[in-house]
Amino acid sequence: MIELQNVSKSFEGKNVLTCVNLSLKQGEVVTILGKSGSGKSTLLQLAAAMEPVDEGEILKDPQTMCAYITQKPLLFSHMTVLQNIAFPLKCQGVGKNERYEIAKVWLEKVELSGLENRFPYELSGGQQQRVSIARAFVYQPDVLLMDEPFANLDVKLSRQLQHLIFNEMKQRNVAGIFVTHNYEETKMYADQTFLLQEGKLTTMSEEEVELYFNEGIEKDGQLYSISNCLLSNSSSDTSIPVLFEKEVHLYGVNFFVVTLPNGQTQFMKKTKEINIKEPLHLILKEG
Amino acid sequence: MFFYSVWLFITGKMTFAFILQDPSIVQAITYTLMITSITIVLNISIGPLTGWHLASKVSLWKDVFVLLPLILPVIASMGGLQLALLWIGIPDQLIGVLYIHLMVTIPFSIQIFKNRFLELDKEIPSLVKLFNGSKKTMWIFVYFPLLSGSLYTSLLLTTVISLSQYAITAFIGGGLIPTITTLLFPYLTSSNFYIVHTSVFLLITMIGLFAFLMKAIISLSKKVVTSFL
Repeated sequence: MIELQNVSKSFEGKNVLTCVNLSLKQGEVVTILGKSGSGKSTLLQLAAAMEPVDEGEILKDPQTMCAYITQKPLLFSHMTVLQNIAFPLKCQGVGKNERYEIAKVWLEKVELSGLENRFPYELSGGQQQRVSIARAFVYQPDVLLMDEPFANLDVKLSRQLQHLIFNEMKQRNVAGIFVTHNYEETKMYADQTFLLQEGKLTTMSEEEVELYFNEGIEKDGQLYSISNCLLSNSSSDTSIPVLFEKEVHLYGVNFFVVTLPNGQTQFMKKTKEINIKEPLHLILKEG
Repeated sequence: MFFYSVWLFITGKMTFAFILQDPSIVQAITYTLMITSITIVLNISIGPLTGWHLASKVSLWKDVFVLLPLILPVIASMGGLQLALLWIGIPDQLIGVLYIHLMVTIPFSIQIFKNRFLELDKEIPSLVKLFNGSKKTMWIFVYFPLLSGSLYTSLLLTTVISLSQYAITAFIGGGLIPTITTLLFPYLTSSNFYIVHTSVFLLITMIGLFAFLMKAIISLSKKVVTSFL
């Protein structure tokens, strides 16, 4: 669908990306992690052909359409909500009536019906982001590039929009590159996770992702990934005692919230074998 | 910018020796520095507050009141410019007058638009490109409506400056290229109150008419453009 081959990019003599390789299949979602200023946004802009590459190649079908959603909604202030959503279709030569009809369908999907004649400055931050999402989907893109789109939103709205975006992507088999700093988002939606560090893009295993977000456990100077740990009622040489706090339901999954001896709180998947009235232990296993 | 710098260098070289012969040059420089400094301080003190006030409560009369001082011609040192024009052979011609009017107005326009563009999102061109939009689409449907306010400011400023340039028009036009200002200026120096009053009224009316026409044209164009969105 889209392939970055040995892509390099520098700004003012500073290498931002060095020989980056990334391949994205139809319907696949990859997450890119990395510190602020590590070049994640640049990578998305190169993939979208919004910036030229210095070296390397970006292979994609000329028919492949990319959409781009950023933290900042980037709406046109002189256009109404409806005009903003319909603008990509105007750029592609779709007639006024047809593009307004399509835009109205998306307006409903993002739950902004009735606000079509408002201007962006009359909307809240969350509403503006909804308009930006509708505008991204209105021209049926094949690849969705997302640069921390939920970073400025409250948790409830962020989850609503995540649900909306990833459901639409699944239904339409849209591929996505997703830049985030959020553990939950990475765990929930990524088929593959990459780390962008010092201009280089490397694949991350599930354990590495957990350790990256400090979701691992340290014992005797060794780090254990939480995905390799098991909650048990019996102890072993490599187990640590934990204290049961409560049971929570998150994203359709039941978790036990436990506290480790160092005070760290962990979410562990609920299993039937566990009796919370008995002492609990976390059995640590190396990845 | 490069050609402008080269032009300034050449002009400066030609006129510097001549200007230095003037006995009052030191006093003139001192006064210029003092006046410019005070003007700058007053501008940056009064300008933003007045601008904010005018932006929050729109009133045509207040706008006119603020612009009135600009109508009076600014007596700039045009000797150097005239020499340069003599050198390239375009004084006493319409093109020479046009050129000199552009020299004093274009820098303002550039600054106005530069500031406006700095305020706009840098991602606009790449976003339009992402939507498969052409540059024509970007300029007509995105940039024109977003720049319409600056366009009006620039046009109004250009009109006011251009209309009030008695000195440079007289210098460069050599009396062969008459404009309303060169025509009215002798009356303005007259001691007859009614003649002065009529002359000032004519100038203000012309500027007001220009301002009204420009506002109408820009607003109408913006309406037409957005109706196609």
